[in-house]
Amino acid sequence: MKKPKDISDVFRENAHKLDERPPERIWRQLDKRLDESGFRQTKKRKLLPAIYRISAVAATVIILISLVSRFLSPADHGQGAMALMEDHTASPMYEELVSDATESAAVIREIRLLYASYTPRYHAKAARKSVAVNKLPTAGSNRAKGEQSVQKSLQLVLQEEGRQLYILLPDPSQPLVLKPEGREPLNFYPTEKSQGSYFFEDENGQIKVRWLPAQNRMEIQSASTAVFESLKQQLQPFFVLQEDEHLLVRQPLHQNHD
Amino acid sequence: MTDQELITACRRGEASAQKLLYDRYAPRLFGLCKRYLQREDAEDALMEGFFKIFTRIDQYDGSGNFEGWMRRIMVNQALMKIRKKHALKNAVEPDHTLKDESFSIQQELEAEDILQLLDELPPGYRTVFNLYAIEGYKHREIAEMLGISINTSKSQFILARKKLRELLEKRARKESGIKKYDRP
Repeated sequence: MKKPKDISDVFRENAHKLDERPPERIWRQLDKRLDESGFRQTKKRKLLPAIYRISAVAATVIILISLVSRFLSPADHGQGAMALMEDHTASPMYEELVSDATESAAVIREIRLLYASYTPRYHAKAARKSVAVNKLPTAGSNRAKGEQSVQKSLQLVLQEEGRQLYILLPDPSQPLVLKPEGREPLNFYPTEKSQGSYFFEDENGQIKVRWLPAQNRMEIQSASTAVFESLKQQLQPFFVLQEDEHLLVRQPLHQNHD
Repeated sequence: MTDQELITACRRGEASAQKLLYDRYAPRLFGLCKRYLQREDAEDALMEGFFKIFTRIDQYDGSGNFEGWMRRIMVNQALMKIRKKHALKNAVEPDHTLKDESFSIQQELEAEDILQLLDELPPGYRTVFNLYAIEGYKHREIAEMLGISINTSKSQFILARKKLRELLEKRARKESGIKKYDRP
């Protein structure tokens, strides 16, 4: 006669009996999705020329902006820089801007605008690069495959060092989507308890946040260390995550109400 | 091809390695998903889970068991699916008067018995029972994963076992004493 076993042990020991080869269509769907996602070797090769093309367009626009602004406002040379000197003598950008006084004032004013939106750790050179990319069509006009849906419900675009992060806030009952440019979207699903609260989870665990639209930030309500670290990695450099204060903070560059 | 070779090839995005890895582990991971979800949802969770495995394989640092890493992804995928269906919202309040009585059976359980029994458990009981009894998570970990208290997790587990005993006794009565359950 067999020895009786605890019910939990019986389930654990027999769980392998549920192992079963899944239907073939599962692999077919997965295969297709992996092909489309660019996580396949063959796709990487095809993506390379696209990167070159984008870089070429960006470089051309930078040169055009620079040339056009020089021709349009020649009398303003130096004045913009002087204005910046008055307002920002204490800023770390100051020295670089003074040395760039021959640059067009229009460009410099935009640097200042950007600078005001961001933390002072960025140099004028990097900021100028952002200005140039800022002149490119932004997410609202992004026609890249797979980003069509971004256009309709896009509300905020964060831009930094030439990269963009799209935030989709379509409806309080729908997921809040953070889409770092060129990466997989991160879905924050609404919690059942209260509006404005969302949760994100991956294999590392779960993080609960509250979206504060007026302040353009997310307040972290609870998070395991592992998922916090994972999210931090995925969102850099678009957000600053401060573990001690439990805040995700970054100012938006554009407000888009398409 | 060893797991390590497969992982390296998958990191390079080799389609043939991805297929090999899928063929090797899909049956086991599908079995796992079926314990948490109805078949159709289990298929969805399996596909989503494998997509994450392949796209985040760089995050596997090689320090732990690779199958364990994949199982955690699948479990989280299954939990997301359950949560989206709001199936966990009716979690029971912790009941400190509940006692986990030992409950043993002499029989083996076949696949269909396991699925039928799990299907008859409410989603909360089923999830906690799977996580604790089969996956081996601690109540503290389960509480964090499901956003419930540790005591709620314990109560759900005790109630799951109690319900399973009732279901098995009911079956035994139907089968007129063919199966015997030892109670303390």
